[in-house]
Amino acid sequence: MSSLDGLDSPTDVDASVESFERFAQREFRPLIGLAYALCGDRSVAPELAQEALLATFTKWETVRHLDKPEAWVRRVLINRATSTVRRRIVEAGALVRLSSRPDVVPMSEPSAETEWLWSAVRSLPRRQRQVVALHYVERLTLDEIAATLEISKASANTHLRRARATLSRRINKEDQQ
Amino acid sequence: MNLDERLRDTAEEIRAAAGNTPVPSLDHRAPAHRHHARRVGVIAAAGVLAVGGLAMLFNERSSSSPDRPAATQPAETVTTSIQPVDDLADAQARWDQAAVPGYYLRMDGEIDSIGADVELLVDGDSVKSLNGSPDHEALTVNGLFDLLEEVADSDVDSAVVSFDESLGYPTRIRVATDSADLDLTLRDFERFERPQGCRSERGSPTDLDAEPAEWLLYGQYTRWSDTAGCPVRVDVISQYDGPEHCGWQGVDFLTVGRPIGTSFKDDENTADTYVWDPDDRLADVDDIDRGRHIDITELPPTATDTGYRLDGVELWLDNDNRDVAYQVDGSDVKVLVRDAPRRLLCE
Repeated sequence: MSSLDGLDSPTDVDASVESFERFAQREFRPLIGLAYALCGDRSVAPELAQEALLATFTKWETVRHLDKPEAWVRRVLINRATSTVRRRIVEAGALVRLSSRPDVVPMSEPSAETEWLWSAVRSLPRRQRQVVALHYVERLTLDEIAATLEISKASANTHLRRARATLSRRINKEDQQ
Repeated sequence: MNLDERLRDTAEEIRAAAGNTPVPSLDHRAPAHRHHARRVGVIAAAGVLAVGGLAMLFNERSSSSPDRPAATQPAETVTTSIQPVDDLADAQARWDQAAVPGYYLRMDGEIDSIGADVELLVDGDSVKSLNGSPDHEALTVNGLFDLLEEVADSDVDSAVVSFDESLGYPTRIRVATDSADLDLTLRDFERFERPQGCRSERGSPTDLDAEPAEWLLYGQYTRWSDTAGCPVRVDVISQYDGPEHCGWQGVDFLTVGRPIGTSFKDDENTADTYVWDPDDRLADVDDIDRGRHIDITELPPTATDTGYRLDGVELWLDNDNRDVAYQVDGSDVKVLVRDAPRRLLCE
């Protein structure tokens, strides 16, 4: 039995509304991918995913009635991954936990190409890297990105376009060296 | 492959890597526990932000926290006097100016509600844990300064920091955000510096950069040299005094890698330890004579000079008899007796 069982909502769950357990089981791994894309640390990514799910759990009574609870949890994760202080504390906590709890497993190691390219993504301005991560890692449409980040679709499109232009320039520069 | 394809392919790889991560246990971090921990060190910093913008870093002053009942909580320190963020800049400037080449530190406290006990040896760019704690750059002094810089430029609920007056490194850090806490005390700090050696081939007996740093931290060695006068690594030849707490002061222990000139840092079983005990302090261990002198004319013909020196004394070994080593000083020769592995271990 997964220990996520113990985190189900304390009240009766409406049959038409998904339980937190199912939600967490479904979203945990995609959230890790998004977290890695944003923070670049394989140990911290699962921690950020847990943090986001934990925050979701504490508001599950509200969140579960939203049209898209998955957008809410992604927004939480993105905020936490973007706040460097929070992230550093989470990172330090992850390091301590990893040394004491063998069940906390970091993500497997991506290739050097992936690390290099997504390191370049992470050096983009905040909104641009968020849009790129949601578009490519989460495979969200511009409408879905806009809803997740609570920005307009046009704005999401602009961020994506600028991000691609910047990345292209960097890659070309790298290729020339 | 164009950018879009590269991003799609690498994103696919990230998804696959994330998909292999097992779903962990979350029940160790129940919300109630975290909320409790979150209260620790929470100090109203809103006023600080309003007044000073970045002025969130300040020295500790002793007083009781209004958040915490004095009868049930240990005394907390709360800032009563707000120092400008220059404290951080000043501390970092002191740290940079000190140009500490390496150091040992021990920190304990809580990081995000989890107990932390960190023992690190930082040796240039190398970070090594000495107690199984994480050996991550984030936990070094430079990593802590990075954290504090971000704290100074962020919306944390509170931050209380103190710095060492001389070297500037943080001695206490408490940071609380709405989602994470950190409370660390740096208890022991010790400067660490490798000895200067000769320019040597990498991995050679005189390549002091290859010495295990923690040996230098813990051990007090008498250092041997080669014939050119270059100091030799202590994991190739190490000589050290017997520990006083076992009553073994005056006893010399000499450990040499086998074959001579090789390192035994990875496997002490590849070394021989010889003992010189002129005052018979090891009489309780056995009745072997470990204080015998002979004349150089008595050296067996199979004994040869290793080329290693200590203040003019030559180290001789006998390939036909590993039970003894000789320290030749002119015509006088001290006979060191090999000890059975670990038999003389002093706890």
